[in-house]
Amino acid sequence: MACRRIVKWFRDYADDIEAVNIHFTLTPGGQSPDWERSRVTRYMPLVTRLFRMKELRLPQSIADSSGNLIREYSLHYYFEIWRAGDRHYSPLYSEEVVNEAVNGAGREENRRRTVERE
Amino acid sequence: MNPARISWLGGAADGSQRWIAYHGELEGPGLRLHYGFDGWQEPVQEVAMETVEPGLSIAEIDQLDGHLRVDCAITNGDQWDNNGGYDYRLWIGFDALDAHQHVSGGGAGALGIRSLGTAMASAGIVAGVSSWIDNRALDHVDRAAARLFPLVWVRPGDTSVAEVKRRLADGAVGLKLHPTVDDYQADDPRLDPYLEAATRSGCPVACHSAPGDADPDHIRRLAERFPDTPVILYHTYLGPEEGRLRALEHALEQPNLYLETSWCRWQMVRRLIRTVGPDRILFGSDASVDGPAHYHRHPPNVEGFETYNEGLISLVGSLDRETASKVMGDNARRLFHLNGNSHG
Repeated sequence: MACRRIVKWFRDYADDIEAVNIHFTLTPGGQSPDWERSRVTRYMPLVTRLFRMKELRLPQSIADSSGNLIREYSLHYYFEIWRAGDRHYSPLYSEEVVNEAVNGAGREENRRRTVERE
Repeated sequence: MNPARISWLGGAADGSQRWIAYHGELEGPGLRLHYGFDGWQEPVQEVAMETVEPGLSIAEIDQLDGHLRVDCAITNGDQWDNNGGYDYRLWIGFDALDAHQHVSGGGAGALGIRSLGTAMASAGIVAGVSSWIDNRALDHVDRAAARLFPLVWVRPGDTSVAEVKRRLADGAVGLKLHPTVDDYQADDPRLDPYLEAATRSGCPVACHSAPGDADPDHIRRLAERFPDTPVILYHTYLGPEEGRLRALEHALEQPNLYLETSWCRWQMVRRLIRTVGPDRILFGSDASVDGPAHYHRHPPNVEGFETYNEGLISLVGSLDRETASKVMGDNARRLFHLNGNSHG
């Protein structure tokens, strides 16, 4: 099944960062995330000395509250940063994902770089 | 960091052994051991300690028969060493080993080596099997002092088989899989080269068990492909009871599956033991994701109802001594090939 692939980046802002996870969830546009109900957690490996990257595989559509499949939805995500044995969290980010109803359009990648700083 | 600042002199205590050793900062003629049994039940008692060499004091206690665990702290009259407020504990009759721990490095935070040491001492845990999502974290801690046995965290397509082999040859005692955070199914064929390396080394594979990619159905299929390799379902199943019971069914039918008990309430652990037998259940706790208070945090962190320390008292009290010894450490020592039955 085709999926939408979106790449997220994280820049290590200190030498003692021990791990970074990205947590994300999807909602119909404009709705707030319910992290208790739905959450995906993925480890972000270092791909360079400073940058971590994870490609998120998202569906082409999600169901709205009426059960209708919608191709436009919100992606909510934040980073969990392990540093010196403690857990820190980034701010919450949200962005709109629009999947075109034509073959292949969902393969385009969002290569926007997200850089975190303290 | 030393998780065993309080220990039985000469190793695990059985019914006849009554000497406690204290390796700590307090010493001198006024040193006393303040202790109780099985969760500080009354009467709480004190006994004088004798400093036999710098940094080592000992005390003899009696009336151990019929008890499961000693809770204690040290005082010299002016100061207390109560393990940073979490107290010390020692199990009577066996050395407890936690088969599921994490340490992220030498930092002072919840998952740093110092927090883990305090947590272990607060629960009478003398050794642990530990992993971290970045294998390099454990390269920088004194594992021997901390009595930690590392696993190699495997991320298919990212971790090289050569690194796995090198780490296994270098002291790692098994592999760790986390399909959920690493985004693959637990029966992914890309795992096969790593499992082959584990099989050749005779070491087990521990796999996070939870809904989705880490579902026990997937883990069983992996175990079926490698019947000579023990596969441990970490958490048994981190999710609703339906999944735990399904994991239990798989363990009944697939003899190389083992169940680890972190985040399971003690009555569920007892049910696991009764169903698959005492040889394939391993106590684990996921320490110290909740920091130095991991084993007795309030509000309780085991499904919101009990602490590990409370649950373990009930669990061990409900088991015969041999079964308790197996579940609380000897099964892990056997599977991971750790220094016999009574040593960390």
